[in-house]
Amino acid sequence: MNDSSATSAEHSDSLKPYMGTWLALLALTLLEVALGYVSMSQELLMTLLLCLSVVKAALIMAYFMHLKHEKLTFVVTLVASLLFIMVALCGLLPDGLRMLTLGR
Amino acid sequence: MTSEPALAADWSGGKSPYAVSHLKLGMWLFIVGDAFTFAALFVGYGYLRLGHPEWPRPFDTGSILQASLMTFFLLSSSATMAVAVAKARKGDASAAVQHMVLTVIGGLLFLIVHALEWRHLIQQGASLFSNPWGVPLFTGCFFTITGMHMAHVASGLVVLLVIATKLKHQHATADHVEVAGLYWHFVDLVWMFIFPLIYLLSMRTR
Repeated sequence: MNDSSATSAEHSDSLKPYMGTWLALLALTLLEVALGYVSMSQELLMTLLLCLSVVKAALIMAYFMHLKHEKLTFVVTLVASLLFIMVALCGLLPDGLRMLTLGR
Repeated sequence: MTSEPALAADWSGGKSPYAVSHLKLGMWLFIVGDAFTFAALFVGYGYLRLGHPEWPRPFDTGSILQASLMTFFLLSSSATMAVAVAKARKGDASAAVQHMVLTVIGGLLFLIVHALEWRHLIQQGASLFSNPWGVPLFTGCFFTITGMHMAHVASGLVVLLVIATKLKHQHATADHVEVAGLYWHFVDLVWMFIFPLIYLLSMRTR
């Protein structure tokens, strides 16, 4: 996102970035489906899929939702709040394992 | 990017520090809030799945193909929506409306395939509180998360139709189209997490 080469023509005439984003998202989806058929541990598969999904989400936000062309302060505010809530909620996950030993 | 004094000037009042319209800021705040809702649903799903080592994996290749097709429809509708916003910005309202109609068609196809898939699962005996695969919570999570997402797609379609109609009669501006687009892209973005976490991690072949 450090392409600050004065692309302030926020909505340039070219539709190429949208086509490129669309194709990249489709390719990443195909890769995810293919990974689902590769034999590996469920934990590794989940990690890989989550990483790919974060890349896809970033592509959608940067190009389709134009965040690439917004002011940095705006982007930081939005992304920081999203990261905060995810980290805070993930603090609950270890407690899920407690269910395995309930009643024992 | 910006030097210290310029930053201070931005935030000392009388200016719009984010340099976005109130419409766009409002929609982004809503999207962040809505993302919190989905984040909570996903964490709830992860929590329950962690506690059930025998979590069902009922999706066969047919289901995965169907879900991939749904992903294709939603991604493509997001792309046509991005084009619609660009056209509206250029002042080409009729092209913008055309691309919004394409977007609505993509969203409708998504909903139709999704509804067929729900019917398939329900015919196999799945409901919100029970299913034939052992862990009742499996379909509880499945129907809650995908149902919540379907509700978002359906309301997004209504928004798109209203804005497209208004744009056609020159009652809406490019800003309205862009903000409707932001919502639609968000709905697409959420599906990018539902597809791998719900479907690909519950494939029968694994």
